[in-house]
Amino acid sequence: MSIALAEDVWQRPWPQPQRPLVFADAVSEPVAVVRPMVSPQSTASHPLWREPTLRRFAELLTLGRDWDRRGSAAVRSDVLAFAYSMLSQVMAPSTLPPSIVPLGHGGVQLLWTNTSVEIEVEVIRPNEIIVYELDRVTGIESEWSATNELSGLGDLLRSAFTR
Amino acid sequence: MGVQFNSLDRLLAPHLGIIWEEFKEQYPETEQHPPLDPVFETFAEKGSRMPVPSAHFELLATIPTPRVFFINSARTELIQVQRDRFHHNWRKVGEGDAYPRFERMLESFEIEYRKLQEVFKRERIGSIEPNQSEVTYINQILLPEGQSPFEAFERLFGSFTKALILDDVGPPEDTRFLLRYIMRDEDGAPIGRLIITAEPAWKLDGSNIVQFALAARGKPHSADLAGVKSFLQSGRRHIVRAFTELTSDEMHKIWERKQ
Repeated sequence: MSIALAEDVWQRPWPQPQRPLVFADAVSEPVAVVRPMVSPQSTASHPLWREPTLRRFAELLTLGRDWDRRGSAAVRSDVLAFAYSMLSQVMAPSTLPPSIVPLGHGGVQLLWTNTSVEIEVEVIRPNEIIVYELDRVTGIESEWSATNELSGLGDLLRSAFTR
Repeated sequence: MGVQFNSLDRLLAPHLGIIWEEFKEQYPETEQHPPLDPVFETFAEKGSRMPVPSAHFELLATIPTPRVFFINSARTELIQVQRDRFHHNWRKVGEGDAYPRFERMLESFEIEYRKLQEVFKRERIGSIEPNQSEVTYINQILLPEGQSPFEAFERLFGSFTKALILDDVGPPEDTRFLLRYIMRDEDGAPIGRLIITAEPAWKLDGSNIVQFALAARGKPHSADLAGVKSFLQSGRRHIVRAFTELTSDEMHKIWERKQ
């Protein structure tokens, strides 16, 4: 079985904006949109977290069902798509990539850790996440849930895990 | 208009035939297309605020369940079904085709959504748990013979294009734009995005057009049909306002809009 993802999609020069009108594709009468050729960008670069994160997502997608021999669900592609959208919002270009582990219900857990703080984000379903924060210095823990508004998580990651 | 829901992994290609049986009388034609990737509008307002670079999450070794179109005899209305989406669309095919109005479209969408939900339940495929909804208007504006795309933009979008004319090289040969706005609820919390594009294009018959598209997309107000409908209604209101504010008086006259 091939484990490759559609890598050609990833190799486009960044920034490659999200296609703005995906839902409407192929509905109206076909038209050819004329986009002029421009030189490849030489000053833009990928965010540092992007490549290792996508590589890990690719690994997770190959796991399939029962990957732990305990009956766990396969990692859901819509969970990964949501996690990617979330990271694109909360991560600065130089934020460190998370460790990513699969969960039994088809979701994933993202982890960032250093000597002073630990952050875990459980992505259960699209629009359904739980954030856990441990201040290793004071021992104070906090946990909250979020949907699609992720400013609090972004603040944490940029202050503690951005070079 | 459409809804994206949590992926139903038990929905396989044979189920699409069973679903078609439910819609066949009204939509006797079919087409098959590759599935669309999931799209999510997420927010972190102190974040980078950059557009999201695209990525595609699917194993090449697996066979994707296709997206199917069920199309009416006039080919003006269609529904789209795939593992995580349901859409109802209207499109102009002939010159005499008149847009059936948003309220009628929403009514059809609601009836078909309920029907789909029943099939999913009956066939033990799962239930629809909406995570995004979207309403889109696509306007294709024909360019008169000899008019450049930029002249069309001046005509359609009014005075702001004047600032784009440079002293030494004159007006741009052509132009395009992509605007993204954040939609908010009564408390100011972000709920979705209004995305507007305008760009030159040509139709298969060779005529030149400007394609002006407005889409409102975001998390439904609640993860059920009522929440989806509510989002579609507010999205449509934003689109109508944006259309009115962004386009010129001449454009309004083309669409016979009242000021």
